[in-house]
Amino acid sequence: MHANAEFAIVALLVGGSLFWVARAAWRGIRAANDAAAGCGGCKACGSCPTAVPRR
Amino acid sequence: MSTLHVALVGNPNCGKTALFNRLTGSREKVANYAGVTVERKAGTLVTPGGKPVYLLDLPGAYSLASASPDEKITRDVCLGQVNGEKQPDLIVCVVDATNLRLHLRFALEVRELGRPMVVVLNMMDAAARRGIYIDREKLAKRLGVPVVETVAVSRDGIQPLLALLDDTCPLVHQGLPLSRAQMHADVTRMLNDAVDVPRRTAAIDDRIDGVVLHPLWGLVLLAATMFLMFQAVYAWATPFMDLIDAGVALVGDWLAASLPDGILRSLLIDGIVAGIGGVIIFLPQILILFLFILALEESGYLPRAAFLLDRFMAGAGLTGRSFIPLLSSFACAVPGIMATRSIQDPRERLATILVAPLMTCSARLPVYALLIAAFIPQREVAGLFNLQGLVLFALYFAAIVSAMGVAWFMSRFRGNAGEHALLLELPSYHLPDPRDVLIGLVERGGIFLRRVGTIIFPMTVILWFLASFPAAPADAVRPAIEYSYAGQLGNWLLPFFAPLGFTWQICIALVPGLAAREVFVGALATVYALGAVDDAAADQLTGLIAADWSLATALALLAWYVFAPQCISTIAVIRRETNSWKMTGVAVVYLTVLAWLAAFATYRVTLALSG
Repeated sequence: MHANAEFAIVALLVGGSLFWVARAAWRGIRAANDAAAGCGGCKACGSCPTAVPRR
Repeated sequence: MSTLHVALVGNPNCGKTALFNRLTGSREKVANYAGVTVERKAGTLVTPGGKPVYLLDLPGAYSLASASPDEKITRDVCLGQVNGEKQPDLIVCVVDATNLRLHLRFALEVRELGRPMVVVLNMMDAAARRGIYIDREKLAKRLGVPVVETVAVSRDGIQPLLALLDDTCPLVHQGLPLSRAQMHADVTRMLNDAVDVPRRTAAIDDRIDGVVLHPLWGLVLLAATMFLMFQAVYAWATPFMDLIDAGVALVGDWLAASLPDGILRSLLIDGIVAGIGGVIIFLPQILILFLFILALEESGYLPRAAFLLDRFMAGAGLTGRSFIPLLSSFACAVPGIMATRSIQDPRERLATILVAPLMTCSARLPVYALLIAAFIPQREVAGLFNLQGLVLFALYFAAIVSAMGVAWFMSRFRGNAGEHALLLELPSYHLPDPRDVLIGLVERGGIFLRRVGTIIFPMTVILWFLASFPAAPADAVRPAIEYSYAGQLGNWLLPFFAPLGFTWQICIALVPGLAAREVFVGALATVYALGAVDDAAADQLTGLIAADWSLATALALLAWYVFAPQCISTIAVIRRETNSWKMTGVAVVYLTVLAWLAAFATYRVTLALSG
């Protein structure tokens, strides 16, 4: 495989992962600060009892 | 055709969520104990006649006059007092046909709201098995609203309700408001008129309860059940784990043979395959643990366990009401903390929230399993028990004892909370429905794999990057990873963790482990894979840590994970449910201090004992 292509794939995976983690962290901070929001239905916790977000 | 808005209401544990799932095709969590639904859920369906229906599943309530947060949701939605939620066109009041004395009283309260309603006699199959005869037409006449029979766990069991939804909306009951005494008298009259309950059937439950709720034998049975559960986690999972291990090794070998040396090869083999393979291997153990938990939930045993433990929980300043939230926390502290909304006493609720993270959530299992496999020999004790299973049982037990200890300590500071007797409905026993258990297992497996894909995968990729760059200088004398960003971070954290016997590799893995505990295992696998001199050494994380760490370090790490608040989601939900950064800070600080002290004591005692 060409070195540039290899570098591009690695950069894409690392950049994408950084973006994904930053997005999850931002959503978590927002949810933690919004006591009235209730569960966001993100299901990240593992056994979410909520099917849809509360309005 | 306009959409019909329907709300499902009823006492806890009358089968609302099972009915909701059957009607909408959803897969919401179903259990045979009260308080599973803590918020309202919504779904849609189309009746056989083509009528679109928007269905709300509301939390179970014993009364509409109650002050607990989840019961308030039910009342407010029924009365159309929730912003953005249309008042239901029809209220479907679900009652347990085997427990009409309790459930009909609530139906009368709902009727008082003056909204169109229908009463659903659910669990008719269980009622028939017990020989309970219900004259549906007579009951409908007495109630003044339509009554239909359903069996929510059977495909055909909901047809009468669907047929009724296709018909025009039932009329509103017209009548004078009833006092509580009148309601009670009304229910008694209805039961005398329309229901025939033979005593002999309930006697079966009574006989079982004679053992299960016995102050001594009940506790022995509970301990034996938990014990068996943890033995099975080790005894049954091994062949499946070997299979996954072989599959992961195969993928690694194929990649190693197919790709030339370079950063992509390193990312795929040392980062992704090592990191994800290191975690995914524990899927069989998690599924076996949940097989037991789901079967116990469905059978009706768990409320009995709450009843048994009420005495001990009272000693710790809690009541059996905290049992369900704490039990949910064995799956994950997040829904457990949310389930505390059913606790009316705010002080007891806060105490439960603060101790819930101590319950051993399923994300800890990979960490425990890895360390136990590496340091505890797989041998039999007394020719009967698996030593590794015994250690796992001890870890779970230690968590429970610690939680009770912390709750007791907190109760010293919150003054006299007064008497809050536990009123708990004990449902009938029934054999777990394989369909519900299977749905639960598929859901748990899906959640685990989703976490692997959405949390562990990106964290592993980021950790690989941090552990690979910058490259080691030309004159490097130590392994390259020690010169990387991750290596520097590990060495920077080392002074805090060195007294606990932790290595710099452990310090590195603890950081991404904050996202979710099982990431720790994947991160450790990546760190060791990158630090290994050849690919063969990277294959078996268990063997590597067994050779690299002392027993004292491993036990200290286990102690750390019993207490440490190593989960950002839990911290966030504590903040949300307490609405206080101060209480969140208290939780994080006390758990961290407890973890550090426990790990320190474990490390020092083990070192002293091992000479």
